[in-house]
Amino acid sequence: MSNTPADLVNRLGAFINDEISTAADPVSSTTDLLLTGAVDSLGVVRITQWLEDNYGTEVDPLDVTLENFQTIDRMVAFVAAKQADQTE
Amino acid sequence: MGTSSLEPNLDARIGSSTYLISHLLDATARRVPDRPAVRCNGEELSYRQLDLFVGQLAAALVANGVGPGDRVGVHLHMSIETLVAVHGILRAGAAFVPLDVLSPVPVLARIVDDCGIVAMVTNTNRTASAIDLAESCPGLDLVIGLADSLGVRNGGDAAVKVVSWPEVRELDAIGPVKVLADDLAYVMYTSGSTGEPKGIMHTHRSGLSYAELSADLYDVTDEDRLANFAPLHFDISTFAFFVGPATGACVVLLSEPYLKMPASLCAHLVDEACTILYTVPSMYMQMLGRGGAAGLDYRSVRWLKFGGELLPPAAASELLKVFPNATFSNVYGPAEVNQCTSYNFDSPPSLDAEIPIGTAWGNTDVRVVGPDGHEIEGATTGELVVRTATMMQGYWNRPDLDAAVFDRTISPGGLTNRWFRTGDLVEIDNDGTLTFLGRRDHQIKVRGHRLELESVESALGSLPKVVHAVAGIRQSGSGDDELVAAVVLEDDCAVDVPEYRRRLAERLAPYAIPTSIDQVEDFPRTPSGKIDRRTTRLMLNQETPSE
Repeated sequence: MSNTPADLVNRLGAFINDEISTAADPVSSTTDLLLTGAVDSLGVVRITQWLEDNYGTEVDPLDVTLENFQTIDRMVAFVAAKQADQTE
Repeated sequence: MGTSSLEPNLDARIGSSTYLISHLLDATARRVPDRPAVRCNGEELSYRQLDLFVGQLAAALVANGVGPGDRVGVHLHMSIETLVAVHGILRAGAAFVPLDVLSPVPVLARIVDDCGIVAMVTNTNRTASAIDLAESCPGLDLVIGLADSLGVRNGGDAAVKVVSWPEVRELDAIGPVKVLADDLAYVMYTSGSTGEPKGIMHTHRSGLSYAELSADLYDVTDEDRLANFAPLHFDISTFAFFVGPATGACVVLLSEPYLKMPASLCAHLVDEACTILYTVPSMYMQMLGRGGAAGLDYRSVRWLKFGGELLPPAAASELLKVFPNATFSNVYGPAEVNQCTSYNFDSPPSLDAEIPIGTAWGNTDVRVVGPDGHEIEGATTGELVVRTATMMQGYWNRPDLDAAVFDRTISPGGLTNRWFRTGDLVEIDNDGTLTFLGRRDHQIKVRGHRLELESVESALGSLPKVVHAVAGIRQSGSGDDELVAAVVLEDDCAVDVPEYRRRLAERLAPYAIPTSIDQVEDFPRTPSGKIDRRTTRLMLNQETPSE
């Protein structure tokens, strides 16, 4: 599986739009997922599971914060930082 | 609208008598003007500043013809303006009606029409849905909080008056407009069994009684900091929204993003030095789990209140270690009566039994009755009925529902008392302590939200290709209970979950949309051939998640 940030943005966006979001409009990589109704607390859990299953990224619950999960772009940056840590 | 006088009929009270919810802020702002009144997302207002803002919003409403008896919607993400809206609307003599920001516009439009809402308070981040609402509801002709340049029209002709927040802030503040204790203060909507909105009417008397009994029972002072987790349409919010201004305590409003991020929430509650927490058990369980609450210093918390669902005794024991200085309060009361009983404890509860809902608080009486509404000599279980000062006036425009929930007793001399039938089955022990056993109907709670499974099933049943639908709860044990559903479709059809969820989102609040919709060949049947919903729901509960 390709692991570029752009691929992750697309795949994560598709997952959220198809499986999680109930918002009328599709979410973009900069949509505030938490303030809008796009993702609820259960949705956050399912997104972290999806990241673990698809990208092998271990997500510590204490890392599931506003800073890391407010938008798709922030999640992708978080995953990139995690993967950099793991390869060190 | 009720009155259109530009000279409001201001409330000329003498002395310190308090008989309206609006009197609370009025008195507290004079007593402790410089204490912090409200904090949200890094903003803070003192009681003097809150009082000014509330007086300005009331002035904007009155100047545009809103007055006693009118209903005004509140359509806001949790923010300082939410508290301002509640007290500004009450100060104008009108009643506030929460309009959930997460509910679809058609659901809100039914509430606006049903309740005859004439004005709405909102913010620019709700512009799209506020315009949709105003355009689809001809009766709504004033919107406060959008940019003033918007030309909103409804019914195709009449323009909707729009007043921006900056315009509100330029007005001279006014004091409370005169209404009486028995006048309408707020209407809280819940969904009925077929999904139609059902408005619970509270008066100033019932709301004020709730604020005063709460301030008394929890000994709230102006040193306290009350954490509000609940959206305004969820009646738990009235605790912080009313008791804050009643006592001079600071109201800490937690915005939606925090509530979805337990780790951020847990840290924020420490930073804000909150002293009284009140939310649903599932939120505390998330704080214990993903939130990492056990590693934080919560010595500031002196009351931990929970309600709306059962808290497992083992979780209570664990929470007691995390909140070492807190007394725990299991709060019971349907939105129709606010709170009516509580069970307070500060040592680990028995692990073998549910935590009781306790005993009635002040100005409240409870009875346990049989199916015919009469007390049964010697019986220890039955339906709980309540008489209390915090009870609703009735359901908005629904005398049929009133007749079903109110019982009357007549004392010597003809004095009549009203009792509310809760629909909750309870057990009562020798010293009058109550324990919740279950519901008489199919009402359930999803993360604290009250929901009738039939309303979800009826929405599912209206989807294309669906022949039968059953909804149920899948319990996870970690506080993340899921609403799930199974459907039987027409022959040779397959379930399209994303499409179904999008369609449901047009009719149901987000918490009422099943997280999974499984297709089955058929449901278990009763001997008479009807769908055996009870068995089906048990099966839904026991299934393992499909991921």
